Amino acid sequence: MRSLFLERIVHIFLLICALAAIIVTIGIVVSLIGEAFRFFARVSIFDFLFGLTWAPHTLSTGEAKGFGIIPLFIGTALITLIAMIVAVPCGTLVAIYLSEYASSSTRQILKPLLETLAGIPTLVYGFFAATTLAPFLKNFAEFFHISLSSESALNAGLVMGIMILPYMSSLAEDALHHLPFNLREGSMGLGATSSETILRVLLPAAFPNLMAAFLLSLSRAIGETMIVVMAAGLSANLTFNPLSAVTTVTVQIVNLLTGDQEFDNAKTLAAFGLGFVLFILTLFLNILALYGIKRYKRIYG
Amino acid sequence: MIPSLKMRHLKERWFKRAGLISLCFALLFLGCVLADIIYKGYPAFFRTEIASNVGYSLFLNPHASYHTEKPWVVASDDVDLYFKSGHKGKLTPKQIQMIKELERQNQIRLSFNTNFFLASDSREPELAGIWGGIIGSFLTLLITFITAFPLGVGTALYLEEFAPRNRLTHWVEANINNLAAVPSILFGLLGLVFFIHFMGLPRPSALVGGLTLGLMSLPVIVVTTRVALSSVQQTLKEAALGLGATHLQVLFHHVIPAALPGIMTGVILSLARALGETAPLLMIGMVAFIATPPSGILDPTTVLPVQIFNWSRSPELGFVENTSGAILILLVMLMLLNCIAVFIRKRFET
Repeated sequence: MRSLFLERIVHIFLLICALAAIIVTIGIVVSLIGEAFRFFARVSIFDFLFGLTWAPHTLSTGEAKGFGIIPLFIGTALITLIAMIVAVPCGTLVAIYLSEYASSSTRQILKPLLETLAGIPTLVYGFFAATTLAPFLKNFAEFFHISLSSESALNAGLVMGIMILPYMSSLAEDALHHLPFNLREGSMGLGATSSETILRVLLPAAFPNLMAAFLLSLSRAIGETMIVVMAAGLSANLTFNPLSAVTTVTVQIVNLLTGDQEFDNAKTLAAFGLGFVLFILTLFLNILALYGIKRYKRIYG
Repeated sequence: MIPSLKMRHLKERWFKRAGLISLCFALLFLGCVLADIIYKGYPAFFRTEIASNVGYSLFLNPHASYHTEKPWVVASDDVDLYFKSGHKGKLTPKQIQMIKELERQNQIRLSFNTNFFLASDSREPELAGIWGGIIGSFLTLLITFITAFPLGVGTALYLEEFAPRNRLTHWVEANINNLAAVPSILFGLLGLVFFIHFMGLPRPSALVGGLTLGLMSLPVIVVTTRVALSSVQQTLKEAALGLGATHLQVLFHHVIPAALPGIMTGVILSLARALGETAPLLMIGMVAFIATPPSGILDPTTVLPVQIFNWSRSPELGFVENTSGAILILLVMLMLLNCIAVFIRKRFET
């Protein structure tokens, strides 16, 4: 009897733990939505999502102006694109090499190394981008008589790509390594070379998982904060030029909340509007990566 | 038309080379980052000292009047920078002449910078240290561990061992998986609204920082703990149940001990992530300049990454080496945590 009683107690305790985790989720959504709606009461959601200038200020009439998110979106997209151009081909090739070509002893050293590198705080990369790579790129561009802003999207994007690379290749390596071995044996038995096996059999077979790795990396790049805070600037330019300075959603959240802190200010509330958009965007990517892809998964072995 | 065998083998070789080249490129670039930080950071562990001509210790302590050694005093950051790297900065030619004179007379030296480890933050680069940040990080991580560990492991146990398989559990699982991939800055916004504006906890304190990081680590701990629990062999449970053990006995005598290395590895790695996290702490106002180490969890606190961030924004040149030095310390701490995790995994792996 005692043991049954104890079992019930433990059961209830663990249920409370699980409920707490759900409350956290609901808490995030509710607090973000609540503050975001207070913001949208002052600035119309249409102006916010489609406005072309980002220069938040409040007029003397109390009207809030300059909350157009498009320049921030373009900036985020530009930096993320550069990061993905670096990380995706390189990360996939690294994953292929580690999974298919490297000897098992090399793999056993490099795989944990990659995972450790993926755990380096992004602050470190940001510092590197701001103090070493930015002057280097600037000098390099001057040599070819190109004007390059010291807070260029190129600089932040390159370093972010390097930051994403270990994460991306670790995920992609998992996807490739967990394919059943008879796929490789079958293909090679038919006379294909290793590269043909990889390109025509393994990559298509692992495609859903590779896609998930790509989407998770993408969501990480979009939500990345410290690198862009330190290496990209605050100037909200509406441009696709990777050589000029742009700003991102996360930079502006940090900027709006680390300044003066009146909670009833439209500027402070704007941070929650931005946070809400960021949450929806990354949520969509994560759901797509974790569940949407499953539909296309083929079962082998 | 099938390409010739020669072509196919050529392609094979180039494909393999491309993989190797990109691996080398990745490692080279990451190596560059580390080498750059080490190169810039190691001078922070040394400081320039100048022998003072005033033997004031004679006056302070009459019993030590035979003590003829001159006290060494810490040089200012400009002198320090010039002595280490030859960078002139704001020094006038006359001052540089004096430094050279001192150098000739062996009155100036480099010594190990104990101050860097034992002092707290300061506006002066040569006096600033990381002790306050380390204590703050420790307190914050302690709060994170206390909140996230029981809650995370409890949730994982419930979901893995007790929860009925229905839509609700499915929804909860989906939520937790999602939360593990949400950008950390959003947890900062949550902390700001919930802990500071709703509960009114004191702003830059270790308590709020730890709770916010705890929220961030919670989903990661749940996910890794569930993986560890589900990798325990089914036969182990069945054998224990077959011998008449209750559900609870199976859980606490067999499943948890078997999964413990995996659980601990996950917890340590998520703590390592929390240790290096900066963005959510900026959201809850932990950017303030704090010159004394905290004495409790409610005191104004700064943590190591935030201190690094603040130093990196400082215009003074002397802070560049301090920033790199503090990053090195942070990386060493993270490496230690990672090594502990690897050790646990290897030691208890069956």
